[in-house]
Amino acid sequence: MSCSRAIEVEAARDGRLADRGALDRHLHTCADCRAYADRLDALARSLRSLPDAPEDELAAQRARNRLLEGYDATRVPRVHRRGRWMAASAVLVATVAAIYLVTARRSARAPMIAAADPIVIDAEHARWSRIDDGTTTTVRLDDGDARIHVDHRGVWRRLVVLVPDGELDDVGTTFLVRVRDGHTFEVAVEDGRVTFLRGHDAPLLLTAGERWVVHEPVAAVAPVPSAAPAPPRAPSTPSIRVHAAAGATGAARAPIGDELRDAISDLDAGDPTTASRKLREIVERYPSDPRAEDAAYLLAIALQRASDTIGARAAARDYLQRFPNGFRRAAIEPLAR
Amino acid sequence: MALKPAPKADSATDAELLTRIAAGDLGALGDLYQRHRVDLRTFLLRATSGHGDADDVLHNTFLTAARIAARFDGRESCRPWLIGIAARLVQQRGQKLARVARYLARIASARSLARDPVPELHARNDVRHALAHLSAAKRVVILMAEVEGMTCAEIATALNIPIGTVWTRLHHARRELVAALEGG
Repeated sequence: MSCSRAIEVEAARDGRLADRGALDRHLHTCADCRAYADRLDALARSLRSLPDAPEDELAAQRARNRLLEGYDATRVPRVHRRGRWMAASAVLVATVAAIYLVTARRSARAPMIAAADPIVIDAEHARWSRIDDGTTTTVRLDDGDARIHVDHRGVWRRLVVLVPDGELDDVGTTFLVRVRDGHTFEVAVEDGRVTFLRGHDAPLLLTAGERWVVHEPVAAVAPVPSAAPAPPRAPSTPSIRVHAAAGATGAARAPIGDELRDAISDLDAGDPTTASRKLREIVERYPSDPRAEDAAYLLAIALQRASDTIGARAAARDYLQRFPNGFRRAAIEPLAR
Repeated sequence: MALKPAPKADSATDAELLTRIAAGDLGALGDLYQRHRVDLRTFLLRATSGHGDADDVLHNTFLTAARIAARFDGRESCRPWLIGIAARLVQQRGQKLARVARYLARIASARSLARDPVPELHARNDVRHALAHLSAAKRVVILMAEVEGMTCAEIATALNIPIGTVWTRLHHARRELVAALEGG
């Protein structure tokens, strides 16, 4: 740049040039400054066109859960720091309340106000159970319909719904799950988002207004690996459909490596020994790959199916140690015992 | 059973979500994360050395935002505010890496690695490579201005630095990038 006014090109770009018109007139006559302005435009375009790296939905959901759990954990010490004051306040309030209750003339039966449960389950005729453990609630739906609503506005709780052929991880807030004869045949999301892990299928993200249904006899649906050894079976590909409301985003499918797919095929084909060998290789070769968690989980399942109970327990414990907040934690814990 | 519908994330403004976060509503933090995750991650992938760093800083950005949610000024979009938090974290990370590199260089009596050494490992093309050679301070400023479209005043506020410093960093960042891309 030989023109002394080239600095004005940048100044205009940064919004610190008082007389933009003067520069525009200068640009008509100065090839040097025009070239510099073009170079800066090209640079900005290059920066804006750097490729994005899309993140798969499952990884995003895990990151979201880690964030919420992490933030929830950071809030606890603050409560502890103020613990003494809180305790003193509580004693004072309790004393006042006791005096009031004793001296009050009316026979007021003080209503017990419990903290509102953030998870509401409407499953009147279904067979189901619920376990609350730390920050996670696990609902096991064996049969029937369950409409579940999660209110994440209070204390954060992760909700996992175990169905016979998979599991759903709630990202909020209202959804319906229907199970018949040991198989999920419908998941409908009214509000929020749900990730459905069904058997060995890639995770399926369902958002508000979307509905997943099986369109074939449920007997043909490939079952999910369970804690108990399963008999060999031929792989099957059920027909599934996602119905989306207008404006709803489509279902996201995470990529899965060829090696993992190969091992899963062996597992599906009733060869858990070969599958476990391949899965172990994947776990060891790709310890930091996002697929390692799935492989570690399937390794425990494959060993269990191969009747290697000791190996399965070791693999399950290894999974829990490596992925303490893992997606399959609830499913694999029984194997680790 | 009648279920009370939760407020839809889409209907709440950023300011409303941050008010709820300040009041301890974790669901609102989830909604805010959902709304701005992709944009912030894209910014961080350009401003840092790769996925691992970007995801770490992304996580810390939202944790920080949640901690200081009550300080948000209530404007319609909190995106520039979040970008500012992320940019500051990137700079701090760059300074830490530089300190470690200097320390290692002293021990090894090797040449100084004071410049953030990590981005070079992940450079994929000329622009990315050139960008990776900038200091973290210049890198975040040029990205905030040219990619995020923030004004110099907004950048100065977000990074808590004088506007003159923003102009200077932008000037040097452009000069270094142009020189690198033109083989200078």
